[in-house]
Amino acid sequence: MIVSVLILFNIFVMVCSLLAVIFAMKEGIRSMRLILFGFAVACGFLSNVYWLIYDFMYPDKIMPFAANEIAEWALFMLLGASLVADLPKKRINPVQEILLAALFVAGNTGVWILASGEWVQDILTGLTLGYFICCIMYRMRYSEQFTKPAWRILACAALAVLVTQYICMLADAPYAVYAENVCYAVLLIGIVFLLVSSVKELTRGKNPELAVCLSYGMIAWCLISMYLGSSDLFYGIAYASCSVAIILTMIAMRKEVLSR
Amino acid sequence: MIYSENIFLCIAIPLATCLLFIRDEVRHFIAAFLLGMGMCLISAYISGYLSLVTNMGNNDTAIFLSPVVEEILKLFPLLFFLVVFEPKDRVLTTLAIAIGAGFATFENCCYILTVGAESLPYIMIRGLAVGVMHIESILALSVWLIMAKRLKALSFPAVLGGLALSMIFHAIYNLLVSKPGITSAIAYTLPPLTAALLYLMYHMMPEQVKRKE
Repeated sequence: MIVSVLILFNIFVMVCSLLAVIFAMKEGIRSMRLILFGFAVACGFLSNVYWLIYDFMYPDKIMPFAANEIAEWALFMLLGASLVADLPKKRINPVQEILLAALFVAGNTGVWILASGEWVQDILTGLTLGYFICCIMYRMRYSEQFTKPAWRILACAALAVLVTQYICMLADAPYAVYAENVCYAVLLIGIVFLLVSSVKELTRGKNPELAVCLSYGMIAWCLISMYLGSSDLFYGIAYASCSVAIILTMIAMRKEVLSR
Repeated sequence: MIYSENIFLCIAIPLATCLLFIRDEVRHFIAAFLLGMGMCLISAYISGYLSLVTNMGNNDTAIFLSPVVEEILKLFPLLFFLVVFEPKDRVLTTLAIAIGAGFATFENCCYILTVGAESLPYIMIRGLAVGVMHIESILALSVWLIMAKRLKALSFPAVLGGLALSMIFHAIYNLLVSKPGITSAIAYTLPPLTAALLYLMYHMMPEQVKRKE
């Protein structure tokens, strides 16, 4: 029931974002980034509609591989593409950042495979989500707004999430529970931090590029939290936060496009 | 059981003969129509094979696998034309419509031969729903590809995004018709409504954009 309400909320957010993109284009804002973002949102919207209809029509049947998973992969890739499209050329060397993203996603994919055993689906999800996170890392490096300590904190948080998840999977009862709680705490702190920073940056309005990076980062962090969280409550929080992150991203993206 | 290859040959031979005597846009249309029929036949083979491998029944195959296989196979020739021949926008949309029409026609032929054509209302619904859906999903995809090409953003994520949208639209239709009742009624109205919406959107498009075609 709660999941259905959350999906409905997410659908509402997606429809609003899609309308915002259409209105922006009608106002004459022709940006490839906005169009790609609009398409990403449309993929997410239809994927959720499919899921909701399936849940209504076949409530007792587990869904095997279906078209909505391909729509989710497309959502990740389009979000990534919308972040790096139309960027003016700049000489940067983001190898370290992209390597960090690739290792983090590879580690996550391992956890998903251990948990579900669905090799092909998990690897493809990992590849597409990996592309999205690599794009975020590239854009963060490109913007040159993140200090060395910020990168170190990000790397530590990613490492903490991975290590605790592997302990959860491989260790026995008391350690697994402790590790799970630590993992949830790190993920929640990350969500709250990104939410507060994005809102702060948006209300200040001075640096839309930073707001874009933070809001996209929040979407990715929420997605990781949704995939890793095994409790319904945690999944619900991450899902609702992801919907909020989409709204923030839309606002930040519009501000950034207008500021150029 | 029907022999779909024989049906294909029976319809394709006269059309292929036409190709020898016609020119220009009509020739492109007929060739793409034939290609659409061929893609329908291949997708039936692939869906049948996947159904056997995954142990899914006919209903589950139609809900989960067919939309994915069919939309991928409809995209291939379109993408091939776009990348290899770089046709004008207008030619690409014509090819897309022809591929969709060929696909829908062959699917309807096979369906009618399997189930029978006694009920005229049902045949009308079939034509208006599935027939229209195949055309509009590939037409929307072709418009997206043209848009992405114009904006110099024809990349893998862009193609996958367009493909995913057409797949999920098709999958929602197949899911809704999988059970009789209100959901089927909604599904049957979905393609004509979407077609009307696409038509309206095309007519609301600024003249400059249309002329570019």
